[in-house]
Order: sequence, then structure tokens, then C-alpha cells
Amino acid sequence: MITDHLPVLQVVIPLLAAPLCVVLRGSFAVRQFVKVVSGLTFLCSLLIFTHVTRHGAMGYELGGWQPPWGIEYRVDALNAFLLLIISGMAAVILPYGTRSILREIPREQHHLFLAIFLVCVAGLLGIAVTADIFNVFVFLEISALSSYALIGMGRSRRALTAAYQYLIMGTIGSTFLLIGIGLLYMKTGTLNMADLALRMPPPHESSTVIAAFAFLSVGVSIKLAVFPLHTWLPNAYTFAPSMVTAFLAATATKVSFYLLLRIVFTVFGVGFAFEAMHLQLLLPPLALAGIFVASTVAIFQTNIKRLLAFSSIAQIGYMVLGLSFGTATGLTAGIVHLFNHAVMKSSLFLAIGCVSFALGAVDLRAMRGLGRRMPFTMAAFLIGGLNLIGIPFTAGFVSKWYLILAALEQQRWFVAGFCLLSSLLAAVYIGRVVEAAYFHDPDPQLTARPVPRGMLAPLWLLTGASLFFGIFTSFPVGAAQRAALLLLGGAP
Amino acid sequence: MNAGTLMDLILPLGLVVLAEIILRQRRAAEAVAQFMVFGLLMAVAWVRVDAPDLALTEAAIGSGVTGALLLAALRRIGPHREPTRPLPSPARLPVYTATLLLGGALSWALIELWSDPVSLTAAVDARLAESGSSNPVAAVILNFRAYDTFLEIGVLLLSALAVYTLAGSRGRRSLEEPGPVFQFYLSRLAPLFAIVALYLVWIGSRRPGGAFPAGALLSGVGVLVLLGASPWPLGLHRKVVRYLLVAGFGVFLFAGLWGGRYGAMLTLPPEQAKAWKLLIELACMLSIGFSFTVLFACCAGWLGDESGEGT
Repeated sequence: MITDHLPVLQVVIPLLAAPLCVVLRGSFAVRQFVKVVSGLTFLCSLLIFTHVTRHGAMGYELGGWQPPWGIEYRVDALNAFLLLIISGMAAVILPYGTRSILREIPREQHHLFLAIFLVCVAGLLGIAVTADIFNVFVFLEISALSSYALIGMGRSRRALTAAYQYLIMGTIGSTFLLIGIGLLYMKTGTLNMADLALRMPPPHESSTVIAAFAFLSVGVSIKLAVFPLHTWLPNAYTFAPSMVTAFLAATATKVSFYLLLRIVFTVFGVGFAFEAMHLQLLLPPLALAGIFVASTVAIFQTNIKRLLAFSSIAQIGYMVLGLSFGTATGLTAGIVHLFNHAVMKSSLFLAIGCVSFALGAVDLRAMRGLGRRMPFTMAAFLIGGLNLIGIPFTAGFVSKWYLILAALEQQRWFVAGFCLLSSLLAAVYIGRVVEAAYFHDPDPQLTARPVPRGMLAPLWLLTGASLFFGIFTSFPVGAAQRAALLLLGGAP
Repeated sequence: MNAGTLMDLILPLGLVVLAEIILRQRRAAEAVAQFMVFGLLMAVAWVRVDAPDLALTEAAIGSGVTGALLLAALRRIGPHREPTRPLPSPARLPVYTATLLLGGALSWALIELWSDPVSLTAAVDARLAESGSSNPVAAVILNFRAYDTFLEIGVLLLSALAVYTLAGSRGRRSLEEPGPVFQFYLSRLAPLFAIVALYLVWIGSRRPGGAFPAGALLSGVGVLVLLGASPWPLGLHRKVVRYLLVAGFGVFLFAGLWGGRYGAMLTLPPEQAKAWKLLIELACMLSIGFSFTVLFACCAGWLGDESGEGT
């Protein structure tokens, strides 16, 4: 009985909890409450994931109206995996955040901050779970609005400017999406994604559909921060509160990548996107340029959060590259990297959050000598860095391995070589931080506060996961392969 | 060529020209006023394409509420600001080119729809009886796609919370005493607005209306009362307003979960549907009204920490 309702509970639990936070008010009570909520949300996605793996896709018709009248939820191998990632990240980062916001958010605003955070989680989960493309848009607005607010609540005044920049770019992105959705609806008369795929006219017959494809992919690319549409991302990640940066880096761009996968493979199909629209020629240059430019810019950053933000833009390039092959191996690489990057980048941002908590600064100078003063935090940062570079026995290596396999499968030697070369760039920017932390003497004037165990434990949980999934690869790779096959097989 | 066709030609052209005038406007106060006119013209355009529900909402929210918010923000920034400088002509050229290209692409995409538009109107009409509404728009909003509407109420709650959190920590100003003429009109207009709002909700299931325009009207009452230097909409703040803000979302969610007993979430059995929908609409109207009032008070700087006075 309750199993049938799982897809909707996944979204309703955090959505119900958010107004309760507003009514509850007290900082301590709300902080304990959100931990429970994040645990329940994670439990829900675990149940969904096991159910989908055993029995196949789950559907849910809201209000009992079947599509195309009503809105349908549909969970298959791909979004079950994504739900697990989002709610897992929330379950690790929220307990961390209940400590880290003590130094970043005024006490009397804790309940509002955490309420908005829960709405953001619900929005991202909603994008993942729904099968209705207009419902996707509504959830996208929910997650985007809440991200703007969360970013704007950063300590420095520049957080507001960063949030505003993101708001402008994000709004342009959603407008493009809405136009695309409108065009599709006018052409096909449906908003359900599986239905859309069935009624899609062939590309040579309809210019409306081609325009819809263009508007949708540009809109999602802005949200995904594909080079050169990434300009909102560095400031947003730099000035947001620690837990927000970690959570958005781990999930928001991942959900956008999922949306791109859905639109390209489920709604339009491989034939449309690759044979008619030539994505295999359009995307790789953008992806490669993104990897190269963002990694190079990262080398010259002195603010570590900004450095990691540019690294994120480069990592998005890897995911898009995986998609652009249009093959099972390429998609597996992209989806595996979605998982691995969520784990490793959130662990890096959590480590920097610990540094910020201890010192109140995150620039390269503050990192000097931290290897000795904050050994646990910096060791976690080092492991996260090795992941980014893609050293064997880390999760990052697994992603690179599948990506290079996919490139070699199509005899794209240049792309394969480029992936190896870009690891060197990552080694340089991570190397600069590691050098400062381990080979310089600490600044005697800076005093470090002790970091509570409640922040170190989530950090090490993620760091441990990034090592674990580097060696025992069957879970992420298996889930990604099932999802890739599903996408190439057509509608869910 | 009849008057209707002529209007269909002039309206879009007028919208484009007005948009350009607003963009070139150097003084912010004038730009806001023109923006409100833009909203009204837009509402007329919705009427022309047979969407009276949208026209009502556009006039109330797109022109009324948004205009009030902009004016409040403008007042807070202060009148003694340097006029903004428009983009220099060489910088404007690429913007125009890009806009024209985009507009061209969109028109190209729309041309083929001219001959064979597809719509769900027939499909919606076929199941109208099951919904308990005779207005198809209300049936879509409150039955077929009630979930989207529920989430939109969530978006509104979210934006009130977000603006309150961001603006609330940046100081507070006191309300100003208005003249007697304003007080005179206030005492007569406010109850009238409230009655019209209730009426809009009541007829929503049969004719254009519903919670969104009604809520916008109600927020007009809230704003007027605030401008009348009577702080009760905010004085309530600490006790009741918090509940009023979440009322629409809460009632909607409760109705949704209640529906879970009959199958899926938001399933409303036909015999209960009408009562539930009225209850939801009333709660949503209150929440929408109070959300906009709170947004306005935040923009004007009337809500926030008393400690931060003057910033």
C-alpha cells in the first residue's frame, strides 16, 4: 500500500517539512527536525531504488487523472539512481549544515534558511521524479528560486550580487525552456514525456520541433553551466554559505544534466538528436573547450571555493562529453561521472567549509601549513583532489576510464588523449593547494577554532565513499549501465 | 478590415514600442509607471486571444502588484539617485541583432502551427463533467493539473520567505502618516476590494476568476492599509501572519493527502470536490494576499529587525 505512494512521498516529505520549519521556529528544534527529515527522504529513495531494481519502473498518477490530462510521476532505472544521489547528498550535507550555519547565518534566521533549503531539495527531487515536462518547469522554478535565496544568504554582501547574477541567467534559461515546452505542446498536444516521444513528428517535417529542441537544449545548458554559458556559476559557488555550495555543486548541475539526458534521449530520441541535429559534432567542442578553459582558469585562482567552482565547470564538460558520444559506453561514463563527481566535489566543498569554519578565510594564504593544523580536514581535501585528477583506486579514475573507453570505441584518439592531458591541469590546481597546506609554515597570526565532529563525520563519510566506489565499482557502474541502456532503448 | 483585426495589429506593435521606451527610460520612476502600463496592455492582449482568466491575473499581478513592489523598492532606494545611463549605441547593436535573430527563429517555428494548431480543449471538455467545474480553465487548474497549482502556491510562499529573509535583516523603517483624503478613500475602498475578492473566488468554478486575481486584490487591501499607516497586517505578523502565509499551501497539501485515501494524492471524489476546491481557493486567496503584502512591506523596508534601523 505505502509502496504505491513512494514516488509522491519522495517529494512531499521535504515539502511538508518546510512550512513546519517556519511554524516551529526555534533554531535548535528546527536543526534537529531537518536531520530527521533528510533521513526519511533518503530512506524513501532507498526503498524506491530497490523496488525499481527488482520490479521495474514505478508510476503514479496525481489526482487519479491519467496523462495527457493529468500529471504523472514515473521512476525508472535512471531517475531512481538520481533520487538516491540527491537525497543521499541531502542526508549527509544537512547534518553538516546544522553545525556550519552556526557561523554563517544569524540564529533567528535558521528556521527560514533550513525551510528554504528543504524546498530546494524537494524541487530537485521533483525534477527527477516527474514524467510531465511542464511539471519539470514548475519544479525547476522552485529549485532555482530557493537556490537564489540560499546563495544570497552568504555572509559577504557580494553574495547578493552573485545571487542576482544567477537569477538573471537562470531566468533567461527558464524562459528558453518554457518557450521550448510551449512549442512542443502546440505541436503535439501533450506534456507527458513518454507521450511526447510517441507523437514527435520527424525533424524534416516540422520546423517547430527543431526550434523546440534548440530552445530546450540552450535553456538546460544555461542551468547546467555548459561552457560558454557558465558565467553565473563561479560567483554563486564562491559566495554561498558552505553547505549550500556543497549541496548545489553535488546536485543542482547534476539534475540539469539528467534533464538534458531526458530531453535528448527520452523526448526527442537518438535519431532526432544525433542524426538530424548532429549533437555528436556540436557538443564535443564545447565540452573540450570547457574542460580546457575552466581548468586553466582554476590554476590561477587564489580563493579555493572559486578554484573548485571552475573545476566544477570543467567536470560538467566531462559529463557532456560522455553524452555527446551517443553510445552506451559514453552514456555510462557520463552517468557514472554524475555520481562520482557529486561525491567527490561535495567532499571537497565540505572540507573547505571546515576550513572556513575554523579560520573564517578560504584563500590560498590561509591554507598554509593547514596539513599540520587541521590534519583530518586536509587529508580529506587531498583525497578529494586525487579523485579530481583521476588517480587509480579513486572514484574519479573510474569516470575517466569509461570516458576514454567510449572515445576509443569511436576511434576518437584526440578526445581520449585530451582527457588524459586535462588530468595534468587538475593536478596543477590541486597541487597548488596541497603545496600550501603541506610544504609551508602556518601563519602564526591566524588562530584556528576546532571543527566539531558533527562536521568532520559527514566529510569523512563522503571521502570514504569516493575511495570505496573507486575500488568496488559495481554499484555505480551497474546503475549507470542500466540507465544508459534504458535511455538508448527509447521511452521509459 | 474590422476593428478587431486592427487592434490585433496595433497591440503587439504597441507592446514592442513600449518595451523599447521603457528600456531607454533614464528615470526609474517613469520606467516603473510605463511598466505598469505595459502590464495593462498585456492584459488587453490576453483578452484578444480569448484568455480572460489570464487577463485578470495579468492586470492584477503583472501590472498592479509588480508595479507596487517596484514603486516600494524605488522609494526605499531614494529619489535622489542619478538617472541611469542607457547602453551606448554600439553596445546596443549586438543586443538588437540577437533579439531579432531569436524573434525570427521563433516566428519561423510558429508559422507551420498557423495551419494546424493542436490543443487539448476537446479532451478537457470531454472530461469536464468529472471535475465539478463548468469553467474549463478552473478544471485544469484545480483538477487535472491541481498539482502544478499547488506547487505554484509553494513558489509564492517560497518567494515571500526568501524576500523576508534577505530583506528582513537589513533594517526597518517606520510607516508614514498619510493625509485625510487618503484615509477617507481607504475606509471605503478596502472593504469593497475584499468583497470583490471573495466574489472572484466564488464564481471561479463557473467563470473567469479564482484565487490568483482574488489574492492580488486582497493584497491591494493589505498595501492600502499599510499606506494608511495602520500596521495591523504586519502587527499580526508574529502570531497569525505566519500561519496565514502557509495556509494555502497547508490546506492544499492536506487536501492532497486526504485524497490519497481514494487512490492517488490529490484525488477528490466528485461529491466532495466542490467543497474542497472552495476551501482550497479561499485559503490560497488569503495566502496569496498576505504573501504579496509581506513582499511589499519587505520592499518598502517596513518589516525587519528593529535593531538595524536606518540601513
